[in-house]
Amino acid sequence: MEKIKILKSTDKKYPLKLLEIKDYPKELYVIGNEKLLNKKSIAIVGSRDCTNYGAKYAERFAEQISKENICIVSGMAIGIDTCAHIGALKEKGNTIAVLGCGFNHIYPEENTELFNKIIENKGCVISEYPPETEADLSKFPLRNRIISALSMGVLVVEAKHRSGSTVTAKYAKEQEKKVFCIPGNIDLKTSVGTNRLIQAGAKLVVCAEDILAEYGFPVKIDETEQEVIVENEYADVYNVLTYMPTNINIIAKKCKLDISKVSQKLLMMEIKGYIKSMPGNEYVRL
Amino acid sequence: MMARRIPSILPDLTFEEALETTKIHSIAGILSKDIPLITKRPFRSPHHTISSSSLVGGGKIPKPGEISLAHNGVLFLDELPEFNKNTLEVLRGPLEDGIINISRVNASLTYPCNFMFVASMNPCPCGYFGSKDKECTCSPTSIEKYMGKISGPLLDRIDIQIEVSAVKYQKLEEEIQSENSETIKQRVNKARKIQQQRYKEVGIYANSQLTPKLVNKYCKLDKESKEILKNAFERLGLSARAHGRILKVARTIADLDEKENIDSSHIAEAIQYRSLDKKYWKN
Repeated sequence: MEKIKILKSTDKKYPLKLLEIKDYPKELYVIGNEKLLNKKSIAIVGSRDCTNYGAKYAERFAEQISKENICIVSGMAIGIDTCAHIGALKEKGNTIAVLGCGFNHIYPEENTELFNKIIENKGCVISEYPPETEADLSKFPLRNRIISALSMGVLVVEAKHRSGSTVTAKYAKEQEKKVFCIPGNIDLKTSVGTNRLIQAGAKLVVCAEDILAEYGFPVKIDETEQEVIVENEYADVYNVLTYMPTNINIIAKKCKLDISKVSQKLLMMEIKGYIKSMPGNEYVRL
Repeated sequence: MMARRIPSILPDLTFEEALETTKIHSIAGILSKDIPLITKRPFRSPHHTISSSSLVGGGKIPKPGEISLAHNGVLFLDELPEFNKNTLEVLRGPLEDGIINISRVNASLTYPCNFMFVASMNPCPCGYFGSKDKECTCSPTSIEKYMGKISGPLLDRIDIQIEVSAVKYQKLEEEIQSENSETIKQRVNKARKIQQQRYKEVGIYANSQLTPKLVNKYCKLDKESKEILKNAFERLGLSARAHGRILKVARTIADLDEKENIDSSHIAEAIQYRSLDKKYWKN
């Protein structure tokens, strides 16, 4: 493992952005590329049990924002946070993960792999807690103040009512930063938080350009939808699919094919990367 | 209900098989006076509170357990994750070998247990994971815990895993003409005959009995199918142990299709039957 650096709040290298908040951490434990801490950043946060929709757009927004050489800050939890880091890593690693525990007790454990990947790709992982500190739920909301302090604005992708992500948004407001939200289906629990934030004045965004425009980046919105062209033999099944999950029985009924034929075609399209299968025998376009 | 119908589409018992099954039932003392010879394939569905010794057999002088009573028939375990984890693990050996050795103080016996293992389960504790009608209320950890009750090695031994969605009330009332068991059975018998013919020289009679060496001989793939299988393993995160199973299932699909060689559509269908292997279940 790489060496852990300790930044004291009196150090020259301590990020100025953090000193602007009143309860800034006295010490900051850093692994990886600490230069990122002074870069322009946007935070992307959201629910742990996210939907396919949230995961897809967290990754896409992170990727597109990274393209403009902006760093992506998130909390390295499962769900949206993971997708945001992965999206940023696709664009060569400008990402900061802020942990709510010590480096020796990464939570959740599954994300150790992501942790290593972030560091390998010249990203940065920070924590205000010494390496031996164990994960403890009370610390997670607190680290959110650091996430928002490091960023110019906070994008909330999916959030339940009164969840950690809405806490981050609250900190962002206190620190006078912009809050962005991706709107969601009002039936879903994971959209309640974001939709309410929009109601309370957060900016509704439908593409990464909506965020970039706030910070003076030249914006070229491409409204033309990109048409995916699939091979003729799969076209009939592909045309039935949408971006919302469709059950295999409905697909078969609409194509007037028997299940085994449909399922073969679905598998082939999944292998080719046109579609994705979801729990419950449902399929969506990618 | 679906599981109970399985014996109705299985090939008829041969005379030897009927004798064997009858013997085991006789030893267990459950042969009824009215039916001296069992001619129908047995269907056993023990409750999930069953202990491991009543599942595989046991006692002072070991009596056959449920798996032996299901010899030449079906063992159906409903609500698989509700079973005691240790109870399920004892199935591993018998599933592979088709026999069970039970050693006790008074006797050490070997019973046959060549059965078809059928099980059903919910996707999560609340039962709505992946459902469109109702939101699942389970946390990712509780789903993981629930799925974790069934070990990987046991899952790997299950050739066909499919997800079925809940039937809506409206559908229950609709009358749909579906294939009846009799016609399905005819197709099964036909495929079985093809297999008996093919394996005449090697002394087995069904695809499920193929050893790794025989799989290489009888389940040859063309270039296109090989490509599909390779891509499927890379993209869908299938476990390596699934490889031989997929080939055997593809061979059976080809037999049902009355084709001599496995082609890409057969292999694609077989891959679709590994739904528990797919990655999304483990995230």
